[in-house]
Amino acid sequence: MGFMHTLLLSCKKAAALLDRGAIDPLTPIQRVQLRMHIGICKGCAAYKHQSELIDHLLENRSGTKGIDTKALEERIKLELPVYTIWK
Amino acid sequence: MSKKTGTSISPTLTSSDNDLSAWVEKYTQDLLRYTKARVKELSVAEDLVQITFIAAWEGRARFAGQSSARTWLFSILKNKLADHYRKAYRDPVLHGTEDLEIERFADNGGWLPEHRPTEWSLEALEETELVEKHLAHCMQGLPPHWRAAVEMKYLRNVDAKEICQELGISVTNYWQQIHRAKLKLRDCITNQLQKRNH
Repeated sequence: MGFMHTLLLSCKKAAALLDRGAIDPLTPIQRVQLRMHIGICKGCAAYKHQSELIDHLLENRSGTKGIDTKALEERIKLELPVYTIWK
Repeated sequence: MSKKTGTSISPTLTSSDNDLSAWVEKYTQDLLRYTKARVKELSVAEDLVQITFIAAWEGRARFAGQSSARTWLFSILKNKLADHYRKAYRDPVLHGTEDLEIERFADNGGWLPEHRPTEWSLEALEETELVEKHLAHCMQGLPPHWRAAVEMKYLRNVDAKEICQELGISVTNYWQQIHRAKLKLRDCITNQLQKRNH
């Protein structure tokens, strides 16, 4: 198991590198190790897919449509300097 | 067709004070929708939109119509959101609320059987829809300063070093926190999806 882990990473390390890679570039060796690990490990392959889906969804949140903002708009307009001066 | 000369047809704040009130009517909904999806409380979201317009008013001289009004307002809003997350991240009160970490891995670094991820086995479109719905709920369940760190990652197109400087932590510290938050988000989404099947 020790040899396998050095070559292919443990799942703990692989999952961490997956998320790290999205923030801090990995070394070429780490990238190869990660690709090999994902290739044979179903658990980490599933983690990769799900982690990437979460990334994608968090980046593209649009929020709920049709919030009534009339009251807020009025409040904002009242707070803007020009309206306070001229009112 | 009459040719307009000497007048600007692009809306700028300097040309007329009415433009800002038109902007408030035109963009408040979009700005609030965006903000509400990224902060927990509606009142906080509303305040952020409001201070965005006030900052837009104060900085109106810098808006020379090079970018669209929408783009400009969103860039101000994102800066205000970044300030908000930075404060949340650094709030010592919130740091006490971090929950105990679950151990997901065995001593040899393999997934513990009950924590090993399996595909959510949903059809792609349905998966996106359901996960999106649960994700909003699961984000609320993160410890507040983890949530702030995660939000910072998706807010602007800046590199990790800049975010880490803003938060006052190392890059390693930062990605470890994001990784822990994502493990927790994944667990939470999986649980929500399972609930639905029972």
